[in-house]
Amino acid sequence: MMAKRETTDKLDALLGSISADLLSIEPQQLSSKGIRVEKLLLDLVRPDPLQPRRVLPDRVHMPFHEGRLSPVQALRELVQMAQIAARQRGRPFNSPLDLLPDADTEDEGESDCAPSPEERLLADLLTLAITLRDDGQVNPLTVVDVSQVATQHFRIETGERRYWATWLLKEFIPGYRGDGTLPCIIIPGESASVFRQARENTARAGLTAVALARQAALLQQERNPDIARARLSSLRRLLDEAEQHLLSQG
Amino acid sequence: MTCVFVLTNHKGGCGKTTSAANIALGLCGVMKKMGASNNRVLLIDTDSQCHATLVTTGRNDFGQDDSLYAVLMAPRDQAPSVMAKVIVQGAWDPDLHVLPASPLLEGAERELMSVAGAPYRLADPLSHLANHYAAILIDTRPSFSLMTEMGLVAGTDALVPVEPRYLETVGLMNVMHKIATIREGWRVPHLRVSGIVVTKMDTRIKGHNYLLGEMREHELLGKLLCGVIPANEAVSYPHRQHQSIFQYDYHAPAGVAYLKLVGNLMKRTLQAGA
Repeated sequence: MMAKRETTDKLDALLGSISADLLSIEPQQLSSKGIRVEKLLLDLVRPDPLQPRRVLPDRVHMPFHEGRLSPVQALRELVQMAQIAARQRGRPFNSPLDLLPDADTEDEGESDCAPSPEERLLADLLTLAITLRDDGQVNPLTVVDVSQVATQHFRIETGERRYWATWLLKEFIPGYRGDGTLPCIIIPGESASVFRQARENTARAGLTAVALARQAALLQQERNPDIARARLSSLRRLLDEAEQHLLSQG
Repeated sequence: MTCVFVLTNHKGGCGKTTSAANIALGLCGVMKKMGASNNRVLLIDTDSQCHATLVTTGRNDFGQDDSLYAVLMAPRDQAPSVMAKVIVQGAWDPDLHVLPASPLLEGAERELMSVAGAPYRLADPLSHLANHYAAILIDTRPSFSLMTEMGLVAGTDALVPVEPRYLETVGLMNVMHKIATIREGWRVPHLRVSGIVVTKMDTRIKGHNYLLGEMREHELLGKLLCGVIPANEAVSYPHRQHQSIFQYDYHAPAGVAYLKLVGNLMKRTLQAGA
């Protein structure tokens, strides 16, 4: 008798957990006009293959944008590349978290051998991922709505490093409590601008000469008589910067 | 807007394929009886076991170029024309069209895993052809795989067949949560759980009666309950002869129950078309 009541209670609790929200009696409404801020599923967002400032090394960047690697596979490749480089430098690591500076050993002096670009990139992304885990994501990414027919798709205009850091956090670092989404400012497809992306890129330090040249080439492609003077000056400044940078590098 | 019914439950053997095939033919027949101008119904089989394909077409030898696999692998701009080419007429009724499955679908999941927008690979081309049909039914595989996700992303109305038992009801909750996640995550605004079909109901079993009673009394589930199909030999025996339940024995209790279910879905289809 007792067991029967227990089963009945469990069933009642189960059925009681169903809400109208879960069943969505009313169709969900999605606004599609103008700039808006929304939380987007990570899988719906993809980096811009033409972004001059590439986050991932070319060996991973190309297969990822050709659809041969998923974001998680791309990151796994990066981790493996960093592991190989670290092993060659005599400081092997197993978990990506081992790359983060340890508070106890930080003062013991720097290693003789400088970290490889892959180690440095992974360590940077890890640091960003830990910040996102501990403090949450304050700045939304800027994405362009490139959805077509039924396919929902968003291309990152700014914030690719935060995108990769979130994937890293979700798949490689314990303690992720998110729901697999990213806060994004969604810009309609027709309002996408390589000039906005260029401004964001040039405002940051560490843009390589190749990235600068890619950026300049992109802007020149966009150049047409309708472009405002301010935008042209931005292009000129960028071209000057690229030239200076290339000259200084010899 | 054409109603796209997706029969889904990650539990195997709960009657997804049987229900999808019988509902498809039932809708076709009822619309004909009503003299509807368009009574074409499309059945899409996304299950690599190809059972819905086998019972409705009598064949299960569809492959790389003449099945859903070809649609999923086609370049995005060619996918609608490929879909139009691979759809075949069902053996049960000339107006019942079938997009056949292939065992290759198993591999398609792995191949598409890294492709951006993979869950929309069915929804996208289908949106070009949907208006050609009065209703569309999608049979899914018994798992929450990419293929099932594709089916749900392409759908408007999820129908969940469920056996009247406790663990199956727990599974029903998981299915509903999954559908809610897909609706929000993949941004499919029109997808909703629009029906629960209780299958293999045996009135001689106390537990079945109790659970059905509880569902009926539930404020929300009671409204969603759109059909109760009794456990009946007329449900599975026709499969052997590649027949529908209506062709095998439409007077059988399960045949009558399916017809009632079709009537309920018909109302929904007409409302959507209005």
